[in-house]
Amino acid sequence: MLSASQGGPAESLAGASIGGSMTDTQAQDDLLLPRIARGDAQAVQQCLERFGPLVWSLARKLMRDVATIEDLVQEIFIEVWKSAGRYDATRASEATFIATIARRRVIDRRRRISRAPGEEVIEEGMRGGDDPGLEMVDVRDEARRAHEALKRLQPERRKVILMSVVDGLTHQEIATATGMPLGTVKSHIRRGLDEASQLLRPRQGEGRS
Amino acid sequence: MSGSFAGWDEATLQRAADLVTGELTLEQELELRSTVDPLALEEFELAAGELSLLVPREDVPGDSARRIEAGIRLEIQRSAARPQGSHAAGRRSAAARGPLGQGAPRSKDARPAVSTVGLGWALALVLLSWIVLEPTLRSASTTDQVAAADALLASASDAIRLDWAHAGDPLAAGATGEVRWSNEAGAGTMLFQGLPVNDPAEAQYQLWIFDGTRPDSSARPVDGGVFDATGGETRVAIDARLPVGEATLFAVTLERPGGVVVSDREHLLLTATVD
Repeated sequence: MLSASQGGPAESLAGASIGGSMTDTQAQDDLLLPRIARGDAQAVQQCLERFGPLVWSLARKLMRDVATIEDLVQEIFIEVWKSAGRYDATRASEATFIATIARRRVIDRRRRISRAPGEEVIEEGMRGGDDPGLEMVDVRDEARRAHEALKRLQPERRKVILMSVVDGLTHQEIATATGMPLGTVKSHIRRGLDEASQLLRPRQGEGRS
Repeated sequence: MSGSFAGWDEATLQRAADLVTGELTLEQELELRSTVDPLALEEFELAAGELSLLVPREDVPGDSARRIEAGIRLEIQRSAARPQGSHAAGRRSAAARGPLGQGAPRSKDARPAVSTVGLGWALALVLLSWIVLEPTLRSASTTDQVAAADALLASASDAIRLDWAHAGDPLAAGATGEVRWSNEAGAGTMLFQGLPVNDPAEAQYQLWIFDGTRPDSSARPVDGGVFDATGGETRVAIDARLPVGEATLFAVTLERPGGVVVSDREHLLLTATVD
């Protein structure tokens, strides 16, 4: 799947992945979703407390109106509650599971609304520098694997991935902000996600929680 | 299925990248989900989800947190208060009965990591709400209705036939069939083989028709009616609630008895795309 060798990151991906299982930062008995699936009301509350900032922050990347953000966050957590019984700890951490649901809802909401005129676009300068982007990300434990994966990407590709996946900019907005052709942006996102996904896959034979 | 996206060509990889970054329309998303390995696509989506963990965190404002929590608790209470035998109740007891209400087993081997409409096997991560413009409760089609629709199709100049494609939900893994439709006649029929029998008191199938002539057709498909699977072969007349100018896509979901106004697409089962 990876393109012909471009040296460095592409070659190093062969057979490699980021160390650590998806749940090594969260003990098995600390998982909330299985408890939610069993109807544990306290677990629902704990889920809101633990992952509320994450979901709120992802929703905020798209919305400005607080009432709309509240509605979207509520929608996301209701979906998490409904889906808790299908969570598989061997395939993703709870944070990743919830973030993926949140992304879906945010993308769906974006389909149904248009961007407000004059919505600001992050200036390229905010992700400039020798190591563009990583200085502005959240590197708490649950994001450690993602951080490591991004560090292995070429700087330009890393910047575009951050602007897209983390900052929530559209491909056209990224092209406008960076001056890159839209096709180049799409190529960076395609290859960057492919590389990062390869790195974030669980290793063969890795112990399952 | 391998669950690996390593074998994707560049075009598929680009579509997947567009999907997880919100660049696809609903129709494009459904088409992608019906053509690629759902486990592989799920893996790709989970990777994007994991990268999202890098978002700088903001605290939830206190008032917002209280309102959100109250809304969630209200929804949980409402779900608990729904009568036994409702789709919601059937959904909570899925482990025992399955969403069809007939004890239909879920495929444990393909259990997705994330499950809402549209993700992985269940396509359950397509978290889209469709707003039906004027839904009503309707009964399943009769043989007479199918015959009437067949007659209309036979005399229409624009009748088309499309094969159903799996949308990834394991409930419909063994289902095949076709949909026939005419924009001119505003009529059509559906044929299913292997669609699991449902208990109408627990859940019913619902058809959605995407009309390319409607503004914002992605979010507002036309309700094509609810129906039941009778086992073996099921033939159903399409009962479009509103005129359809140009059908672009047909989709079948599993909903509560009588259908819904807004589908959460927890079970998006089959799609058929007009070329």
